[in-house]
Amino acid sequence: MNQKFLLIVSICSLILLTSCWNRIELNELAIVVGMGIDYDDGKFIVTAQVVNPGEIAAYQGSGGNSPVVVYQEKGNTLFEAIRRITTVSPRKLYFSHLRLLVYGEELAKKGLGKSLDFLSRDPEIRTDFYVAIAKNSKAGDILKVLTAMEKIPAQQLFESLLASEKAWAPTMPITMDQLNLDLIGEGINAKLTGIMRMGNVQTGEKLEDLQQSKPATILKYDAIGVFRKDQLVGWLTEDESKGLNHALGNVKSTVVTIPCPEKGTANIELNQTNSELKTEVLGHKSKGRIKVVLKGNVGGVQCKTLDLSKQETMRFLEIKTEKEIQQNIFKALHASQKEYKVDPFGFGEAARRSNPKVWHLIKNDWIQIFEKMPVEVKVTVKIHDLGMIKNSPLNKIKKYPAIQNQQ
Amino acid sequence: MERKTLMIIFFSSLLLLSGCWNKRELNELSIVLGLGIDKVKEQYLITAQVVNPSEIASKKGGSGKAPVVVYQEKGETLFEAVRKITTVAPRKLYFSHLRIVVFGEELAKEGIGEMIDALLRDSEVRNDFFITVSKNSSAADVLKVLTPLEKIPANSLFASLKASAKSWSPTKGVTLDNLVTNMVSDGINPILTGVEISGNVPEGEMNKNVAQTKPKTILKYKGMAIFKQDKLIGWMNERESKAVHYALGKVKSSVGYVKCPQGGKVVIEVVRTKSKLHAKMKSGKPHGFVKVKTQGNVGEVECHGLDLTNPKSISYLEKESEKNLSEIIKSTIQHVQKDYRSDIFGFGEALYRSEPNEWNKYKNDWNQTFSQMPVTIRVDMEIRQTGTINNSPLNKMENK
Repeated sequence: MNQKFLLIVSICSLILLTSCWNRIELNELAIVVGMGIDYDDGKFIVTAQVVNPGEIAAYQGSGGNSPVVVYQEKGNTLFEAIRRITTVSPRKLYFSHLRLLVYGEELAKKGLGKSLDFLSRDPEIRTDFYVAIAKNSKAGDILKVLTAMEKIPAQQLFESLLASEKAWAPTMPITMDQLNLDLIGEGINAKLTGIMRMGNVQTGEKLEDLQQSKPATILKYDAIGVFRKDQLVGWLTEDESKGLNHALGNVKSTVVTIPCPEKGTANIELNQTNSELKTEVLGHKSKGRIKVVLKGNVGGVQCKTLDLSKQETMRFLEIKTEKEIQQNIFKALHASQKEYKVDPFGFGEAARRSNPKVWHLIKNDWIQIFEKMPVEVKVTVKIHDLGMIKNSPLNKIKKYPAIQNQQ
Repeated sequence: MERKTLMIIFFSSLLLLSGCWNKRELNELSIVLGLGIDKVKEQYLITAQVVNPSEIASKKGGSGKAPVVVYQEKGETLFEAVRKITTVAPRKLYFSHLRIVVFGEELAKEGIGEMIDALLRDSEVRNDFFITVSKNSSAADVLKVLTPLEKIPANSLFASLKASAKSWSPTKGVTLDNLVTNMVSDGINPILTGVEISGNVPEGEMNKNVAQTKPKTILKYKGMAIFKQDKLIGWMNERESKAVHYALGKVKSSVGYVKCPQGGKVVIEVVRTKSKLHAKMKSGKPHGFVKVKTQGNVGEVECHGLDLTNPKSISYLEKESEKNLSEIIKSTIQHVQKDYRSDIFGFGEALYRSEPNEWNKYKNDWNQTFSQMPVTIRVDMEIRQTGTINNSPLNKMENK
């Protein structure tokens, strides 16, 4: 009996213990870190930035080859183009470590729609990578450019976007997940950060370009593009992008420049933001409300006679900062309401949350309502800290007549 | 007595223990990974791609030299040309690690038969490398191009052929024994994958080519060459090559698309294929049958309004794929029958297996019979999964 039982167990386990029948070893994979999608003549052009493992290994010198390899193929569908890359690449592309997806501006204007399904459906592709748009350029050209600090350009772009989002307001890291939500969500429109190439591709794709302290071709994040459905309709300026980010509470830290009472400017460093975006649903006369509460400290004073030890001065700085931010938000609102007629803020979504029943009645006309909707913007700034010094050393520099005047 | 035996054992072991009299140290060998064969004015031009060991060592960086060296020689025969290379190479060529053999298109048109013998007979050459034909260029040029990712171009070609045959399918890694069997048999003709140079060779052979993210010159597999016995008689495009592999059941995985009912495309990822190819006598004449059974997943939806949660849409997709697939297989078979008259599918062999007596009547002029043979095609497609999401996000976007 016991023996029989054991025999059955061992035979059953033969079926179950299949070991790694479907395994792929690391050296059989082409790890894709950056992907670009362009559209040309009814066909997708897929650009894959693949890590060249031999060149980025830590313990051995490199052989002077490029740290990443870029493969490009055309196809009737996205999937087809990707698979066709195997005819040139020695390995099958592996997408789980994708860092950045770049859409060409042309494609973004035509609509991202068709490409979205594959990116969400394929089990290999995660949804934690960032999405950006190549401003004034093809996505393929962005991915060809080498970068200096991080050997892998896609990694550099990923980190640069993270860093600039943390310390500088006009960029917006949007993951695939977020983009999907914005695209299918009611009462909100999608927005993506733009990425620009400064310099030309021919020099940027060569290793030689990195042998100088200032590479001739660099990549740079620039402003935010707004979408209607899945189509790019326009770009926000830097101020407008900042305003949008402030309204959405995306700003972790940034620097605001305000004018002094007399000549010169002062900088306020903001490091805490709370924002609230609400819609008061009153049918076609709905109202929007944005409330931003910020905390910050004095970052730099570039004018004389500003007495920071006085309460009034601090209040003055706070009010100026509030004005500045408020103005940016108004600029962003103006651009979206009047110029592009899209709702990247998500006032519609806020309306749905606050009053779902009425929302169903007005959602089809939402953009028309949003266009004319008055929005109240309230910004409160509290300045807590002055930094390492009190008054600016500029105050103590005595006024000597300029030398030239004496002569 | 005992001493005598010892003496005899001692002397006879001298004869047997000959040591490594035939040894060759690793640093005396030129390890050939790629071999190109062209014909130039009645002479064979041999191109050998040899590893430069110090450049590909893993523990130290290279010194900026090319990772492989290419040697070329001409000769009346393959063997002669190979041996002649020692006049330029510092070491004797060693062929056991051969990865890829490229036949020049010109040579292939004249016939590759004479070359095969030397490859088969030599004890150093193994049977695990792939054979390809260069398309629109000489084999020599193909082997000169440097590749990124895999430092050794022959390795890159080998791996790329393997990867693309596995996940894309218009290509196929053909080994020597496979080629020879198909070449000598009456009932089947060989096919070989074509390799093309995109870009120019002088740029591609420099190290600079791989010191940029997107090399200007790359090697690319494109289409399959149709042979009649040992002569190349034509090329199939990507679509046709794929169809041939479906018919032969060689497709491991591939992608293809079908049209949505409302326009747009749906991509089906094929994950498994089985095919049965046979031939029978039907009313006194040979008749071919191709039965393909494939399984696939929905890979991508590029259209609005397709409800994948509805079993009807799935069966619609299955039907459409079956229709598409049987259509391309049919048109490919017809194209090969009409324009090339070369039985690359092996219907002749199938007939031989099923009705050996009848086969004897046809075998002398099989290709002629093949070109007029009716073929029945049946495709059975089953869609199993839809990936990580159900309906396309496009559907929801449209509702906005």
